[in-house]
Amino acid sequence: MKKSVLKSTQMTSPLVGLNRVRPKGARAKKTIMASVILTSLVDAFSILVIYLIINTSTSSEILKNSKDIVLPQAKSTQTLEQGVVVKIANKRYFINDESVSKNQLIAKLHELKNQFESENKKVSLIIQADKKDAFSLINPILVSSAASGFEKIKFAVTPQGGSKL
Amino acid sequence: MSNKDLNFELNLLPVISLLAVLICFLLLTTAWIHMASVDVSQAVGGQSQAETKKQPELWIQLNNNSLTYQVKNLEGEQGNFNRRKPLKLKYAGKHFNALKGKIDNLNMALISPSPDTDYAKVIAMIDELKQEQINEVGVNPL
Repeated sequence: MKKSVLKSTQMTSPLVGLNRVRPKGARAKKTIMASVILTSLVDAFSILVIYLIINTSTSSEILKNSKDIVLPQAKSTQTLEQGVVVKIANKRYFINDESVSKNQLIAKLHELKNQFESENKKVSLIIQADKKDAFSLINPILVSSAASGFEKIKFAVTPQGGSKL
Repeated sequence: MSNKDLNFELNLLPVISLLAVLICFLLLTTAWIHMASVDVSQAVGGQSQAETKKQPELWIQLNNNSLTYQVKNLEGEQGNFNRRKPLKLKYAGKHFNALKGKIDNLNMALISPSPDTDYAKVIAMIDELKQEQINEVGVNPL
């Protein structure tokens, strides 16, 4: 039989190894096998992988985090659901990552609303804006959403405790 | 077959390498900032005034530093809870709590922010209302 990899990496208990280093009675053998117990390491790695996979799968893919936008914080929050995302970045409006002028907001939102309704889907509007933006920037979205028939509006926030005012 | 042949262990090094690569990949791709939403309901004018059930409403005028409010649609002798003197934003929660204690069926609020009000202040106001179980919150466009 050929000498396999398994055979060459065969490990013995550390106690046996200790026994070989300091034998009682019997004569010491020539080989000393030092081995690291890797089973616990594999266990820890496996738990870490499972945690990360669950964390990845539950994290929302609805909104893309932009470095230009710092979301406001809130305590009473709901989980994000699929919807039409309107983003304000550098005082420009984006609907589902497509740049739209202020005048086009109503038409574009109306089109999307009709598209979802034809598929019998209830859709809400998600607003993603920087916490320092003035309300005058948000206002055209609210006006357009009301004109397009969006009843539910969701303001994207980061959930956190503490005083905000 | 001797006992020595049966006593073997799996080679764990490739498994560890694979797991290490997987952990690195997942650490890089996982989104660590979680996002949620604060929901508001907007009136789209689909219901007539006669069909609308009358219930107390809290109307809030908001700016960056202060707010004023008035309670509308109160029944009978419930009193006057309006606040015309500007109230600092940090005391809003206490006032809403007191209002909720006095007007049990107060579940609706409408926020009218001024044009220069920070978006964060509007969200904080909605959040304060939701924490006081005033869940039907709307934001009035300019």
